[in-house]
Amino acid sequence: MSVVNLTRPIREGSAAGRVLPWETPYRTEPIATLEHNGANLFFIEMSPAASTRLVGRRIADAGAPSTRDVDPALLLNRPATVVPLPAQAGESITAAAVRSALAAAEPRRGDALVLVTGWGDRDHEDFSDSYVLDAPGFDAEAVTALTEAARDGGHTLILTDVPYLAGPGGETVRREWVTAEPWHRPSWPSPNAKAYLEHYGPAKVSADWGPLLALLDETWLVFGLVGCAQMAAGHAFVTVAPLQVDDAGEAPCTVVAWADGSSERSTQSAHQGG
Amino acid sequence: MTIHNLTLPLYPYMPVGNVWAWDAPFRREATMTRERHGVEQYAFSFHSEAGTRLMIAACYDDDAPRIDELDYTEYVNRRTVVVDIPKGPDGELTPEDFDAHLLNHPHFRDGDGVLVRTGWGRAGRFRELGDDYARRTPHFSVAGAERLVEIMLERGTTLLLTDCAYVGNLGVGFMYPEWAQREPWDRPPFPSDQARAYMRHYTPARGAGGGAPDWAASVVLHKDLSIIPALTNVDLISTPHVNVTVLPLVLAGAEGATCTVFAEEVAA
Repeated sequence: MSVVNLTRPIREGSAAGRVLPWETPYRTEPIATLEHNGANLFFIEMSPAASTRLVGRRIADAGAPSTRDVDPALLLNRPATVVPLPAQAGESITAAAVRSALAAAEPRRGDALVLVTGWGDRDHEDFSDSYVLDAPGFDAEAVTALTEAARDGGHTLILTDVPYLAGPGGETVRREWVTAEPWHRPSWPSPNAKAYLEHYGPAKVSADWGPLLALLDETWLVFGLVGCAQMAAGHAFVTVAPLQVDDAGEAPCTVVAWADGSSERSTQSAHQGG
Repeated sequence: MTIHNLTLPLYPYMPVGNVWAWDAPFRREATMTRERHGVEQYAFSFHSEAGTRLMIAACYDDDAPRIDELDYTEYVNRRTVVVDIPKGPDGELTPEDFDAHLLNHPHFRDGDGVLVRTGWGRAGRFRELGDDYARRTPHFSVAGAERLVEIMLERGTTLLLTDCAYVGNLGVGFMYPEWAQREPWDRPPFPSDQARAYMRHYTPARGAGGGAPDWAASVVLHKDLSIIPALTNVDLISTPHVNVTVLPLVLAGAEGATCTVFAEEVAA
């Protein structure tokens, strides 16, 4: 068994996790260095969107399971179907495209779905905001189609290589914040971001986040995969390992996958080296 | 199959990452709240090796592979033998312990990962003990670390997991008496001015970098092994071996990283 790493490396300067007003850019500072202290350790600030991330209903519902409390069987060695769903920069993926892709992939009941648009295979060391601003996303009817498919097919885990479900944020935050020049939308904890969020009330949030929350009623979601081109269409196994933050509805995660080469999952007994 | 999550939760001021002068405690700041906005979003800050973590040679060696350069195949569904070596507070793991409990363990196959279960990491203890969970953890003596590495390399394995919160000598010469033993309000954590000042003075001549007497066993283990300390819930494992999956937070260029560990029980 050879696994492929589908996780976006977390890097300073990356656009991931710095464009929306509730995000704070990934930043590090050395605490100890090999040169001065004989060892390397560092300090981190980040938001979940700096990474590939796992999102659940708990972001809106305090009674829903947290990313730490999710049943590990849902995340570990999960049978999955890889669903090619090619999309171009800025494209809105339609319900028809979703239905057609799912029909072609023929996912097994209960499989995790890995929706591969190709966006995650672009150069993830390109630090321009384009990774976020130009990402494809699912239009409202496509989200409804996904919600129905998740419910009807028992797909309680859906992974995709786009950074956000419907492009960066919803229409309101895109119009009011995301489309501004970067110097007019300084990241959290800037006074600008805090002021914006004071005015980003429940009505705006409901409009922007409604489709995501509806989908989260049926399934856990993983956004921001990279390197999916390493996987062939068809069946595979995936493991999703979220950062073990207490009481969180969203957390950075690490995702690996491997081909389903047989009817049974292989394990590394008598593994040499390591 | 039963699956256990062996990872310490990250919560504000959790003990593993809140004691030593290089620690930056885990913190979480809400940027949006369910009460105000209807959804919750947040920012985190923490130390690169907070809680359960994957420690690798790069901590002490700039030429060694970094976290994002590892082949994760080595860390997924890895057959691992569970070795019981009970230890209490401040207990040391010695060469005799490994000769007695690991060398001829009936379930230890060549290539297996090794999970050293002292009992320290039973479910929930970290909340009961607070900072003493880190300060009084069982750990490895230098000779014990050397003997364990010798046995593991002979058996073709380099993956070590343990419920010890820290593996080295717990700063016994300098950082424990000068910093960790003090009351929390006398050792405000990084990025405080005090922590920065301490780290300016914490050089290899004063025990830093794994030098004796502060952390020597840690250097011995890092040189040849991948080490995952601070496991919890280990008392829930009921089989002599498990398949473990260890996946770190993929911090580009990191010399170690907080990680998530799942263990799947398998029949003997």
